[in-house]
Amino acid sequence: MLSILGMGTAFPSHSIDNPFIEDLEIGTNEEWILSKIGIEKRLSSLPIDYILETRNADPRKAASFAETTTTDLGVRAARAALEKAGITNSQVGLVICNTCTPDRVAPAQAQQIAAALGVQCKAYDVLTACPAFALHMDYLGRFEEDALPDYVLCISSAVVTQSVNYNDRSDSAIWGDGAAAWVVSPRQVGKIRMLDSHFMADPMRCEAVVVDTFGHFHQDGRAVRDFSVRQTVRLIKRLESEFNLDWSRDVFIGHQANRTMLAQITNNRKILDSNHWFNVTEIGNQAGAGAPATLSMHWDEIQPGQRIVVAVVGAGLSWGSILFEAV
Amino acid sequence: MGELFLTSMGFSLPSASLDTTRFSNDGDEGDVAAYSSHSRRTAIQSGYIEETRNREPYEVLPNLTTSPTQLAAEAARLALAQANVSEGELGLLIGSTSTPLQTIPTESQRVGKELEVRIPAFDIYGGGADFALHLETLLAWRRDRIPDYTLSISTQIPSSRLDYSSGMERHFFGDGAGVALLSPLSGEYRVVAAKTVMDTTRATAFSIDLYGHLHCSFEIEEMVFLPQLQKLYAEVTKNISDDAVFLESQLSSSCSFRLQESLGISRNRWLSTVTDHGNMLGAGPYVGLAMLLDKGRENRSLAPRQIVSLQSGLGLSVGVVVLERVE
Repeated sequence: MLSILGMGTAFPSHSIDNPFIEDLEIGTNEEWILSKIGIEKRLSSLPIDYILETRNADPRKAASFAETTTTDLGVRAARAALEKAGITNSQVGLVICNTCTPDRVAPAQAQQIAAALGVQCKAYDVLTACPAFALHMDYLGRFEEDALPDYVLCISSAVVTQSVNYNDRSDSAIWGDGAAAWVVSPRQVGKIRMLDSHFMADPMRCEAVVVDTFGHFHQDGRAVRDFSVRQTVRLIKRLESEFNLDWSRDVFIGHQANRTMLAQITNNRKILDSNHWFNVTEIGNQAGAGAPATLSMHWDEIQPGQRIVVAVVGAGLSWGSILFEAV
Repeated sequence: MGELFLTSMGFSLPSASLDTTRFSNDGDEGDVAAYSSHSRRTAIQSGYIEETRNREPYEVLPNLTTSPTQLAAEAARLALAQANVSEGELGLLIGSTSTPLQTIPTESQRVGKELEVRIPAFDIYGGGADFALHLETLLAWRRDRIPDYTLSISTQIPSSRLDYSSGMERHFFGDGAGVALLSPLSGEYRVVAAKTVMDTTRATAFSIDLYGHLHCSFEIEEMVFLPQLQKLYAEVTKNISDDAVFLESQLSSSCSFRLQESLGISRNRWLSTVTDHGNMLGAGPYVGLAMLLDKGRENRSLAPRQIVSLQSGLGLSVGVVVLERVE
């Protein structure tokens, strides 16, 4: 059975608040943002003066002005996760990474992070964008346990704000940058263990969310939002019926796309506010890093016996869930 | 470890050829003799390279005759038709590319859209030895988590990332896509062994900038690929018969020859596809093997009883796959 021994996060320092986005004069304001997506601020690797001046019209120039990279955020999150797990670099036997904003298209982002960390082991990307937390856990759950090393370092890192067109009122208000990392062991018992995992995709709708390698992020917002709510509810319902969840004790973490969408989901499943963990209001949508970063930020609050439902959706279109139980 | 079979393969190459002599400069002769392929295919339309030397890779997009996704979908359809397996029987798509036109959705998801399937699809991307990596992964999975049919995909258009004004890279890399249909049920060849190793500490010696060109230090052939392939070969030697055919698709002709000699393999059992097709990055081993299997299908006496695929490239990764014909 897979356990998570420790988790870590990393975020950039530039803060984009709603008045700033309102001042971009792109047809939105704080009231609209709070009512429609419920995000109060986002953390970005881009200086706000750069965004104000350029609107990031040419994403190819963004990296030169950014304070950090996908690799750097991934390394910082990984170091925090390793420290939390009490694991040294030399004990890591495999690194897998997810990103939609690689610093280079080759070598793999996992290899760029492993090299920067000084970890010498097999490293490769396991990619799907936003539902990466579920994909990585489901991917590792497919292995015969003796085929996995003692410690696997998983990372999801993205600097999506470097791909955002800040003349687009929806995308400007949604995205933040961040990284999460977690240490998985098939043999050592950790703070939480995985009871169930699931990953699925509908490639027929893959063009609903796109990041062009040479261009901007773009999505069919309405279609993605409807899909996200419906699919997340389905994922939770399956776990409710199969595992007898108790929402007075158990916790839900969704894809950190926006707060209003998450509220629709928790209202539908009657999940208490106190048992709904999220970070999107303060950081923005961090793509695949959002859900694991949220769990990491609540790591010390996890109670023995508590179950944690992670249900995540996104580009692909793909979706997945994980059910953890605290030891 | 369960059984895994190579059920069928397909490959696709763009129609336009690249001829080394078109881009040679004075003084290139020695390097061309050592590293070059005679010709390879390109997805770039005729005249564009001569006109621009591809100095800005992001400008090549409107001048592509095909995409990595279209090449992969064509290869996938061939593999499926050959095995008489329908798209609806597929249970999983695993993709890989070092030259994505979009960073999300993943290549596997884009190919899934072309095939009109609704199944799990994600990329496992380590670099040059991804064929070996995909096989190694499936061999390590629990039997109940491997679907009846999985498509392993690699599709690459490195010609779109080459600087045709200088550098040996422009004489060496070509485009192509290959697909392997894999099954735990049955197939033409049984996967006897699949192993990979990666030297992530030196991975950036072979890289592709996010918005720029492919860079390859050819010293890595001697420093990394040769010793690592020799080491991996030694690990699987007990599985290899005296009449095995060796297939190598990514080393320069001089290095491939040195590897052949160092492993003590006779010339008539050593096939290298680089001379005629260039280095197609991770797609090379798929394309080379698909061509070899096509010959064996046309004339059964040419179907090797055993095939050893030697793989190397981005990562820096190397891999060895041993396949045995099912009688």
